[in-house]
Amino acid sequence: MGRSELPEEVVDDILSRLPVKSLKRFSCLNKSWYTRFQNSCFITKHHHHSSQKNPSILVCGLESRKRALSLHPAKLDDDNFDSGIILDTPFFPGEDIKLQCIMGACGNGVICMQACTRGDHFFSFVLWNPAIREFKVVPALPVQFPSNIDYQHTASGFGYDHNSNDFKVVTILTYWKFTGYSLIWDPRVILYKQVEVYTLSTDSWRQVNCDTISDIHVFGGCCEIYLNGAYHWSGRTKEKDYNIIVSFDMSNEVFGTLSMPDLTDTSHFNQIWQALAVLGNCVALIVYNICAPEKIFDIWVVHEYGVKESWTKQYVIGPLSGIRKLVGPANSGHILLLGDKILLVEDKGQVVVYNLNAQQIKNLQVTGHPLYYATQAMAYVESLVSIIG
Amino acid sequence: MANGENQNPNPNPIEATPGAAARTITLKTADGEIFEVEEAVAMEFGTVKSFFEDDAVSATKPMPLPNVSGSALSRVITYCRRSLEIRSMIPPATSEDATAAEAVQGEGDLEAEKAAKQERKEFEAEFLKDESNEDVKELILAANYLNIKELLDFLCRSVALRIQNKSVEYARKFFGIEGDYTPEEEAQIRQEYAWAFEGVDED
Repeated sequence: MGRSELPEEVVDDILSRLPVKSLKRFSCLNKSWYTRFQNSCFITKHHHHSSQKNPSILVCGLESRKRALSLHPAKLDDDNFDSGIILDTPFFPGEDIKLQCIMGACGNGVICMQACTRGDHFFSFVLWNPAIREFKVVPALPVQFPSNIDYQHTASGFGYDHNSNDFKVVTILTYWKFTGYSLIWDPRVILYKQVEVYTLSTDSWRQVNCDTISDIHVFGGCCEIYLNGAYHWSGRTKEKDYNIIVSFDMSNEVFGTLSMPDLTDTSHFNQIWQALAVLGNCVALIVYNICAPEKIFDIWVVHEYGVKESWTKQYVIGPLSGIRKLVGPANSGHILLLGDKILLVEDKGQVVVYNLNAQQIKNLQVTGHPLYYATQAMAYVESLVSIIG
Repeated sequence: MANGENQNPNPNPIEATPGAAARTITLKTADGEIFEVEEAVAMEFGTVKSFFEDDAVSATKPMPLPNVSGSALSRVITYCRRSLEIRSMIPPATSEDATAAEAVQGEGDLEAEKAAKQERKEFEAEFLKDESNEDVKELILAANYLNIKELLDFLCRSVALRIQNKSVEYARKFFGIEGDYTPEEEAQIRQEYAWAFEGVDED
């Protein structure tokens, strides 16, 4: 048989299974292929195949006190991860603005990174698709407080609005009249909140209503999760003084609250730390004793979103030794649940992968960077989604 | 196991279990070869399935397959037969969407699934090992014409793996596509995505 040409749908099928790097290279094959890879249907199809594979791990860390990111691709053959490669992060030339942490990877290949400028209370943000090496620096928050007002950039979130096909960054500011009290948790101080949302399509911020959370302390930088189009943080109610989960729906831009499970049987823990996680597409809560030399992790899962009674303690992991302490932004302990694995970032800066089924612990390596010190780990799936023009 | 080799273009596919009457369907390829295939295997071909469902055609009349050669059909039959065998290793009513974390299956089921997965992995690795790109494309065309989703998925996956680290010239040759950028335009794209050209296999 002579040269056989494959039908278009089959060519499309094959191409949509290729990694992003291959597609960018094949862009110069001919003009119709260049256009094809920018077509939103193709991008969606490609992302679908991408997300069927085991996700990679994106690690945020420090090397010689400078922020670095490494990507650890999932191995094809088995359930482990390849050695990491340090990614190029050319967002802020100069030394004034420093990257802090990853704020969110909303599952379609785009990441939001948080940065801070020395002396500034506000954070800066960068949207980034590492696979196609595109980034967009989010414009500064157009918020100014008078000099007698003190404020804090409390929490932020990042996600994707499926209805308007838009990326959004949400940010919660807390402010109070500077009355001389140094501790803002002082009940005599009245705290106010202001919430701003940035949308990529308008490239601007606007204020949104936040009455729902006016009496809730939202804990930013504390193991947040993004699930079902909503960003979730831990929080604490002011009045009744109990822990709660705060959610922000990216589409309708509305805050909500979710009860946490009843944790009274863990009161024997010296110091309870909680981390939000996602397990089997449900909100999960990992509770552990930060002080114990051998760690036991209780993993609670809420099977019916919003129904307190449906919280179930689904797994108890451990005791695990060899995990000294967990670190993450705000020292809250970074834990990531990925299928049958738990990723923990421990205080030696090692990312530890614990396989639930095999009950094995492995370390994630970064090739050629022995001084690399991890602080955060996220699941990552590559995509062609463009964020500029 | 039977039929690992397929150089014989017309193997006798019927492995009669004693006492069982295997219903077969006769297929006739473009180059005039006749294949008698077990009904279960032939029904994996969407095209054959609709042919015999739509027309109340007698199963003994050979169904013409004008777009498929004997060698391709032989390979396709080998694949589908083996795939059926592997699938029968898993007990029914096992949800494929169950994640490892939702371990509601019995121990035995999980073991069977794991074994089946491993078998499939080994079988698929062997199946295309010695096939040239032209042979693989012929198989794709056959699987596409015969409407065999599982085989087509597997073939597309395999081609993607084959070409993912290859050069632009290799891809052009594989898909039979001419470039239509001017040398300057192409150089510009290559420069913009220089990182995508690193570490590519030599042609």
